Amino acid sequence: MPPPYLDNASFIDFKKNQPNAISLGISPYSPWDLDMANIGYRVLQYDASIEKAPYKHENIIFHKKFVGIKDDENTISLNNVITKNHLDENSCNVLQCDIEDCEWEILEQIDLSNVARYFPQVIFEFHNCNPNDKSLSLPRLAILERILQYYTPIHTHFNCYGEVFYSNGYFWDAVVEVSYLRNDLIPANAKKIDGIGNLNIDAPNAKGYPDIPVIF
Amino acid sequence: MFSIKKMVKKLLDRPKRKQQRALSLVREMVLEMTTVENAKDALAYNILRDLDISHKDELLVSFYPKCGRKISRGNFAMMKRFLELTHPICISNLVRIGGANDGGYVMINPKINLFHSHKLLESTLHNNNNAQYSTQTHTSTYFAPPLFR
Repeated sequence: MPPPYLDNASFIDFKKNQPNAISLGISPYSPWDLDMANIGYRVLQYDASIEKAPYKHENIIFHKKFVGIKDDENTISLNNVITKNHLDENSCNVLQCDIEDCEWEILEQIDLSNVARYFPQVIFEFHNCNPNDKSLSLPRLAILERILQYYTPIHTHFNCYGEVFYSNGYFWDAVVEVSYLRNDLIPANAKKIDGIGNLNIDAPNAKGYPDIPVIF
Repeated sequence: MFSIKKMVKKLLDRPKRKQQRALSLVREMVLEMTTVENAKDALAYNILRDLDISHKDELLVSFYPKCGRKISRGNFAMMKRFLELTHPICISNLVRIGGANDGGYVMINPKINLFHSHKLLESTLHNNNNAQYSTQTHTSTYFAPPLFR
């Protein structure tokens, strides 16, 4: 039997089992959604702040609703997104969430074990992580700590539109983008990055400005 | 700056189809430049670390002009805690999905079946060439311990 990395089964068969990419927080420029749809994912977009999907694509389904912790006229709970779209826990579903500071309320109240059950990969943009505002940041640190029970960060990037802080050779940004992989999928020999975490595949959020170094 | 303005003006005078092709080339070029810029900054950081000079902090911060407000002095303990909780592991097959200036949509290659790929994801700093989607695969990173560890 060939080793798993040479086996074709290592790649998703999109015809047999189409995974879902849930995209929370859409803007007229959402290239991630379009690329995921082109790869073969069914992209489910949720955002009540825009009228229609920015792209026409057979794999993109737009819902004019916010995602939150309860269900009402304008909002759908994340649990209901999972149930109504019949997500399969054996699919490589991805959740991306960029909802301008509303992520904290959802993360505080949602059952993260249920999120982890259906999403092996999640990508969050965390807002207002201000290290100089303890009362705001302490509960947010607790949420980040709770996420680590289910997920491990695989990449961290600073959004240079956020407020940037510096101290003792380290930078921090109030707006930070973190990609996570579920803990059971983390290789046994995984080690944390030492030094600068910026990769040559990173793209600064602002044209003409270099990325802020993410130093660990 | 003047020559760039002149180039853009020339570009806009062209027929629409040619304009689009030229614009996509410009976009690619800007993306390339940005990548090089990141590498250059990491090198500058390494050089600065090894220099025996004062005011390293101020110099380091000056490498990173901000589009909005200036870089502020942060509460060190809180910054360290945030960094600890978002500290990533080294893993292979990272790709970036999405367009230019769209932030950090870096993820495991979405074509990979994560449930059958433990070997594929084995922690490494070098891409093992199995990432088939993106041309911008994770190939290296730059090491530099903080200046005042």
